[in-house]
Amino acid sequence: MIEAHSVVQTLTTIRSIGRLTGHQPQADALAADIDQRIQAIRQQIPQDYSPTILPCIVLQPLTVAGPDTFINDLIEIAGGRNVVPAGPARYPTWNFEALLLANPDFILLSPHPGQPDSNRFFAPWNQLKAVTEQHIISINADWLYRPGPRMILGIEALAKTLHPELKIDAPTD
Amino acid sequence: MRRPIDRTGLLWILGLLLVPLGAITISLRAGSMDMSWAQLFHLLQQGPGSSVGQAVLWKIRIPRTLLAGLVGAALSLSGVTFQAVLRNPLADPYLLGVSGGAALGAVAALTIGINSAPLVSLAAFGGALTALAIVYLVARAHTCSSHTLILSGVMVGSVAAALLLFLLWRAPTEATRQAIFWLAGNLSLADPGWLGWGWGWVLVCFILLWSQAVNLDLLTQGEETAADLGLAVGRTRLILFALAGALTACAVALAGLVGFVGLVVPHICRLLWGPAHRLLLPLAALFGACFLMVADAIARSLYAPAEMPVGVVTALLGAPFFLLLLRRRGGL
Repeated sequence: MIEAHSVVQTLTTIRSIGRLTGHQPQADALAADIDQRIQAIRQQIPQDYSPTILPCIVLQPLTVAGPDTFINDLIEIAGGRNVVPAGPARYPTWNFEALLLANPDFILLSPHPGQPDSNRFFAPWNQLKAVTEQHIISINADWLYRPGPRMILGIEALAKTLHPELKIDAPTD
Repeated sequence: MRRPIDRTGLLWILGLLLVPLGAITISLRAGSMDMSWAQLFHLLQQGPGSSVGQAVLWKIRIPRTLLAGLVGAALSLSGVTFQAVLRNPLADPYLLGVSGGAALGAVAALTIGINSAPLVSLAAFGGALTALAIVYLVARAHTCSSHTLILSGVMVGSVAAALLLFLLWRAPTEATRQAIFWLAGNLSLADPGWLGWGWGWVLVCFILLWSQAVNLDLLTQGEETAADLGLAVGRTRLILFALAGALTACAVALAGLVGFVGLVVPHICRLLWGPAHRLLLPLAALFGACFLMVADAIARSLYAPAEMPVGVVTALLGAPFFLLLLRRRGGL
């Protein structure tokens, strides 16, 4: 069974699929490339600054990702801190009070059809740092929520947004 | 001769003032942010403003408390009416296809890509009233028995549920997720701009319903007795259903299908204060409002910052309380 919940597990999965399908060299090369790019980011991330992030899965109702999730792993590798604490739900529903109190440096979301416009949605809450500093970031959902090779694009895009000084190429859609 | 207010009477009046006040303060103090009494009074005095505390109190908690009160009152009033008119203790605001109709309206709006809260609310409102009208017309409710009416309601509700499942099956996942939250009842989705309209609507319905209190008493004696006593049963029933339906539609449009309040609050109130509607209606409205305010306060503070579905709390809080009363009073 293949079920990856973290970046490390995903790399293992890539290797096992390669082995099982007779493409071990290609799979190993792919996993090594991803791993190398992750290490490059890890080395450059400043130790004294890790901005807080709120990963939003759905805006209405505001559904966020807790610590025990794949996206949380991506955030930590990219040098950020998830503001959502551990709780009974992995993807809890929040209200605006929780959001105001957490006051994250960045709000992370992915464009989905059928969801309200994120800037308009958060605009009334100018008490939020992320709103006044225009730190509402939108990254392709395929890069953030699929435990597969594209996760490195999500990590790089996120790392470059949180730490613009990093010497990596931010991927574009 | 008027009976002078005795000691128990005074205690009841005091309770009736203190309980709502208590429920409102519990609701205003509950949430992710700790708010001491001093802070609460200070923020109330300050009025709306741009600080985080002011935003939490004036933009989040006060609208939320008002919404919970509104929805609780509307559902309780509607439950009292349906139970009395249908003479069925299991009747609740959602029995006559109202919930199915409202849900169908809202989900239909969500699946065709409408995601503005006011439009979804309007669609739910329209759906609820349409379902009720269909039930009424199909059952020829002017003359039919309450059993026919209930069965027609259940059937229209089933058709609505089937169509709803069909829409959800076809719908994109985002719409489905939103629809599920809506179906479970959610007090965080309403647009605060609609609160004033909602309260006005509920108040008007309440006054009209209250003016029918004697007729409600008559109908609980059975339709034939009521007719013998000179009541125009068909016309009265239409008025009462329209009012109860309007109340449910309003609650559902603003908060989705909040369960259990409309079923259990009327029973609790009847056990506590007796079946006379002149007293029962205002007390049920008051108690329903307080009940939902407290339930919602628990739902959003128990696992704060995460929020639980309020329906979980209404059932877990209401059912044991109701059973306790039932045991102590020895039946309905």
